[in-house]
Amino acid sequence: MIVGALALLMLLFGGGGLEYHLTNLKKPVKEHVQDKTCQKEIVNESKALAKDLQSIGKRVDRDFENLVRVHTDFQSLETDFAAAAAKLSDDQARTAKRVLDARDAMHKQMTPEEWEAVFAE
Amino acid sequence: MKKRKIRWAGKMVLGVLLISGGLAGCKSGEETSGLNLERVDESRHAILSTVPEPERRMAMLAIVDSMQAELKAVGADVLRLRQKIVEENRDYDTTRDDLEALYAQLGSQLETLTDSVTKHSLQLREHCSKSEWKKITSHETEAFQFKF
Repeated sequence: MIVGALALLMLLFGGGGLEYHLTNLKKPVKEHVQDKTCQKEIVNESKALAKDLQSIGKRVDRDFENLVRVHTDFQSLETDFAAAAAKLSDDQARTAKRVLDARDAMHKQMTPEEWEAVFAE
Repeated sequence: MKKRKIRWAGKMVLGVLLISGGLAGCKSGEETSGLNLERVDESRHAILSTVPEPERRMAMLAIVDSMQAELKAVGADVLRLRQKIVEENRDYDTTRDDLEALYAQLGSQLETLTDSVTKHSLQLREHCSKSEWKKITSHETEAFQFKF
């Protein structure tokens, strides 16, 4: 039952390519951002984001498995579910903050025209 | 539950496959919205093969139906929010506050998902014994035993 929700959970945490537009920027940045220093900053931020999302992903993996463990334990209580859910909520908030921090850092390095050209692809 | 040995990369592959299957796989023309219906059906089959009395079986299947309906609604909202996030990101003038609000809505959907799982898991147990529950949920444990 709960395993049927795994794909949905992946969608909630950005799986299926939600953050692809921020973690795969090398080609469009080289093409559309004029300043070489800015290019480097953006690509480095993009790589750092991808790495950090992998790290957060490991926490999500562990915390979802914990929720499954609580679900399959006949004697678990509502408080056990609440504790498991709180960890997943914390993971989601952590993911959002990291993504938005990366976007802010990239935003500083591009003009409006460059930004829209990079993300138009 | 046995110790898990799955690596995140492997889980992501599984997730993408499930997402692909969930989005592409429609049952009776219904949009699945990210919920893997085959996995939910495994729970239905497990209930049917484990619980002998028709009354208890029917009660448990109704609970599974209820959870499926709630999670499908969550899935539809999540897909809409993801699309909105991608669109808003493209706009240079979108503020951090704008995007934080969208990610907060994703967080609310996560709470709805975990609340639904909690409610329905506890309801199901009211209709079965400990040994029946172990059999009914055994496929969920096995679902994590993939090796990549």
